[in-house]
Amino acid sequence: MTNSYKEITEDLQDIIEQIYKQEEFDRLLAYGRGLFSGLIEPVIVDKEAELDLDRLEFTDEAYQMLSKYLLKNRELKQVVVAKPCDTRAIAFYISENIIARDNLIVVGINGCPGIKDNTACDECDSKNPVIADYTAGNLMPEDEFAKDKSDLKYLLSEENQVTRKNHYTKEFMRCTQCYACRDACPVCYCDHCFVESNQPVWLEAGSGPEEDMVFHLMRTMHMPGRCVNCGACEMACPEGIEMRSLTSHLYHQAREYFDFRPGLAVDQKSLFSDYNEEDPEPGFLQQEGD
Amino acid sequence: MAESKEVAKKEEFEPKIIAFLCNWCSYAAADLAGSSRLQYPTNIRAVRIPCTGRLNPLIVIKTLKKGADGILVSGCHPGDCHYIDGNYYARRRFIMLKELLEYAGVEPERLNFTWCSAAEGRRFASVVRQVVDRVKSVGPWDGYLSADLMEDFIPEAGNPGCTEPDDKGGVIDDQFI
Ligand code: SF4
Ligand code: SF4
Ligand code: SF4
Repeated sequence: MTNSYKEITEDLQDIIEQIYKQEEFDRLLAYGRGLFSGLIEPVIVDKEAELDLDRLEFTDEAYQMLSKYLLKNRELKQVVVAKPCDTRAIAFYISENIIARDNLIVVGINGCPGIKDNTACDECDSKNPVIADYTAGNLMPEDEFAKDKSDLKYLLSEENQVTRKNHYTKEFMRCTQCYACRDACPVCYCDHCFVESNQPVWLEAGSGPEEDMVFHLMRTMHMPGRCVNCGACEMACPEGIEMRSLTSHLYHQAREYFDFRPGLAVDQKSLFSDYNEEDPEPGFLQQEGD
Repeated sequence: MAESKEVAKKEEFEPKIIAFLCNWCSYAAADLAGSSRLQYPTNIRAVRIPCTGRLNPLIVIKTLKKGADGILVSGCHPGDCHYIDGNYYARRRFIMLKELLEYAGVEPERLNFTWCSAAEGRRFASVVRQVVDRVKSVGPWDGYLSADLMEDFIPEAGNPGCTEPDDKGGVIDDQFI
């Protein structure tokens, strides 16, 4: 069973109070009610500043990935409230030497109840934190969420190629190339992104339907071995474009071919920086008799 | 446009295939095929790369965008890489790239990956024949966008997402969204 939002909120408030008393740190990243908007938003406070504990909250609107917010100030010691998908992104940062483990105090959320309107939560295969120093809520038994691909009906997985091509053409035509999907993604952290690169030029100036498609193919090609299937990209898109089915497809295929899922351990090698001599060769040209 | 495609198919269209060949094995195999005077179709345009591990998958995406009908990537056999394990890394990338492009609507026949050693001139010629047959079987490549949907697309209007709505409230939006 997943935990209720109320239980998690209460636990979080206790834990953070305790952390304030016991731990040395510079900054806290948590979710809370916005003072003006009344919505759930990231609450970022320095240790010296005063924190109103009752303001902290965790609800089904906490869709922001606080892991991404860690990247701005990597040199500070930060306390972060992390959903299980966030903890996977954090494990990925540590494995890639983006952030030092010593600079983090992770408050993980056990048995994550999911986020409203996020399709990723329906196919979530890790609802407990991967790394955590403190945890809120009760652990969820592994067998309640460990799914394999056959249980999942992710978008279009059953359709034929022509249907999919039509679907994506139509879908990506609405893309304005605002790159919010990239900016929201916790594992997109390159200083120099291919979309802005002009040496070489990957995306040509002036967008059009075909450039939109190329942008999405290139973005997706950067994702296998990194995408933790959190759904932040889709939640961020102002046009409501469903682009996660592409990354999700590769996520499931990588799991099938290489038994690989990103961000499960801090000493894991990324998909593309590792190999196995026994890797399969699906669809490779076979040796014909010479 | 549909008509010209039909005509092209009928008249045995000659595909343009970009072949990315590793300097140490497959490019040498192509050389050997040439110097042994083996006959094979002239549809491939060879691009010499230092190692298949150096081939950025984005280059393949862009090559198709620029109008190639098919792709061939060939390197040293697993275990024989000049740089020890470049082709093992490349293999994983190919598999994921192939998965992605096929999922988004590129026919599998256009994406060809194989291994060819420097001594396999014969095999190289037979691979090229095989690849040309495969690409011919699916016809000319008309881009990542679905041709059916694009027939009504008005190029002057640019990207639907970026255009100002016109007085009818957005022609493109009505058609596609
Ligand atoms: S993807 Fe999983 S861990 Fe992330 S919010 Fe949804 S249910 Fe929670
Ligand atoms: S690509 Fe989307 S689903 Fe994958 S990690 Fe990034 S934001 Fe999450
Ligand atoms: S967020 Fe949506 S509109 Fe913006 S670049 Fe991504 S897919 Fe396109």
